[in-house]
Amino acid sequence: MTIFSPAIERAIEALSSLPTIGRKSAQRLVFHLLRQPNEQVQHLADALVALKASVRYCSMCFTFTEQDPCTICTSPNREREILCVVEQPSDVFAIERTGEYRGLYHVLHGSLDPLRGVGAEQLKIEPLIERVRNGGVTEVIFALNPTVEGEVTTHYLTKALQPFGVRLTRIARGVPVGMDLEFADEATLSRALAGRSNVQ
Amino acid sequence: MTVTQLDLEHFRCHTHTTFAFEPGAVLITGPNGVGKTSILEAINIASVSKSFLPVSDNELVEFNASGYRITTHVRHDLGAALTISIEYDQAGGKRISTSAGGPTTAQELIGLVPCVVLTSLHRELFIGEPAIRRSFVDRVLAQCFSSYKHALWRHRTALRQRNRLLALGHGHDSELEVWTDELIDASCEIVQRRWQFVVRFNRILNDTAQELDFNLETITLQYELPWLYINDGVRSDSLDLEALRTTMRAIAQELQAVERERMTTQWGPQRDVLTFCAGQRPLYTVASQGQQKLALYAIKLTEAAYIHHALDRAPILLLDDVFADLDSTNIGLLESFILERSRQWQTFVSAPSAASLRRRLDFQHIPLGKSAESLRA
Ligand SMILES: [Zn+2]
Repeated sequence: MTIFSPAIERAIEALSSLPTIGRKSAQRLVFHLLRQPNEQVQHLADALVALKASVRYCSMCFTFTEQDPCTICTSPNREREILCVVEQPSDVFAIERTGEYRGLYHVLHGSLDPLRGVGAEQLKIEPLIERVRNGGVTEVIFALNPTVEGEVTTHYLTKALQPFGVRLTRIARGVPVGMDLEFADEATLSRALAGRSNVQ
Repeated sequence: MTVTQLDLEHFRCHTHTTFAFEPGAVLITGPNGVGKTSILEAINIASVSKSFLPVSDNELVEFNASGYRITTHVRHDLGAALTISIEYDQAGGKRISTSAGGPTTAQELIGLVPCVVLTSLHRELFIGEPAIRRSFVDRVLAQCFSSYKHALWRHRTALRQRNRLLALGHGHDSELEVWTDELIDASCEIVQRRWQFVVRFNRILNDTAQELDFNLETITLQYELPWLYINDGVRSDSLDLEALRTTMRAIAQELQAVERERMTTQWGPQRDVLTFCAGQRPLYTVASQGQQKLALYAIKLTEAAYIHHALDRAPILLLDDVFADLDSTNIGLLESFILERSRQWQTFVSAPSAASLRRRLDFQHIPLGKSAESLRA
């Protein structure tokens, strides 16, 4: 059931396709935009178009950049023989903010996750192996997310990079977060009582 | 630990009720619908953030109210006081806070005030499918060891991911290998912990059952790993982790073709079999209803002893309607036992009336009258 005009509906649909934006929030944003002056909305639209037009992957480390290679990859002040492997460009910014790391990066754009259709070929794993194979790298630091997928990806990369004889290390992480296990045996009991069978 | 006071607001039929409790055995009586079980339920929510009954939080809110609040005052074994507040609002969700450290999460709450629950649903522990006994063991171990919680999480994730890869067919061999490694790792930890648990649990259970003396052969929780069909030195008294790992790897190798065909993992602790036995036979096949009820109580006491030892905190026992369907001999037996053990673990018992209890004066008795009865019941 659509109660809005086609233009409003289109905008709501486009906005609600963004992560963390539900239909309700999208509606709120659309009505907010409609109340704004033209220039303001034009400014937002221009920024979005420019974003897509000028930002691309760095051909060396695959982070987001406007100039290729990126400023980190071309900086004369970085230690070029150390690579830090991360899942997302946002991880690069997070590590950069600490100011502790002076090496280069390699962004995988995810972790091995068959349930989401992500295998080794969907990630920037081959280019990483290529970088190490080409020489000049002495240490690879794994800084993937503390999830099971992150752990398994680290394990996969360790196996893949071992033949090159470089030093392989990982950053220390705390206890993984985001566990959502159900422990209530009562819940299981009630499921069984309701006659539903348990999946193995 | 001792629950000293419980404040209930708009929880089930309790509009605004405060209960004060003493250490020892607390008997809550009253007709159906006056909110006996709700008191036990509320304490369980303070322990693990949810009810032991299959209900949603919305169903726990009093009719016409928008949310409930449970404030539980407990005293540590060494005397320190702690207050746990659980607030639920239909619009805003659940908020947990403690006097020790302000707001907290359900994850952090678990283990703070350990509880052991016995309801009529627990008969499933004997007659239900193996998954029920696996999750019984998992719940105890997860409360006691956060590393076990982590292993369960790794195992569940790796199992799903690996099954997905198997379903995708050939061409993912090196990926399948790393998921297999992860699954073996997590499985080893789970099996080792379960193994150690069962050995210790059976020792305590044996002593407890002997004291209860209900004319059954030795009660044990038997742990079998039928999927571990190659047995090179794995099933010894002290489980050798390296042997287990090697065996699992060999099995994974050998079964790979079958697994690809069936598109599911054919080995791992998700296939463990746990059975409560009397002598060598499943308990439910040889025990009467009364004996099963006493055996359940013995199992719950064993759980309490295990948790007490592992966490070094005395758990609280919540026994919902335990005297139902028992003959007078068994009621007397259970009653004495509850009173004796409640010196160690504060025990809450609900019952329709105190009439059948010979030693009712030894309980702290909280009779709930008709006045508290809600229209909702
Ligand atoms: Zn770069």
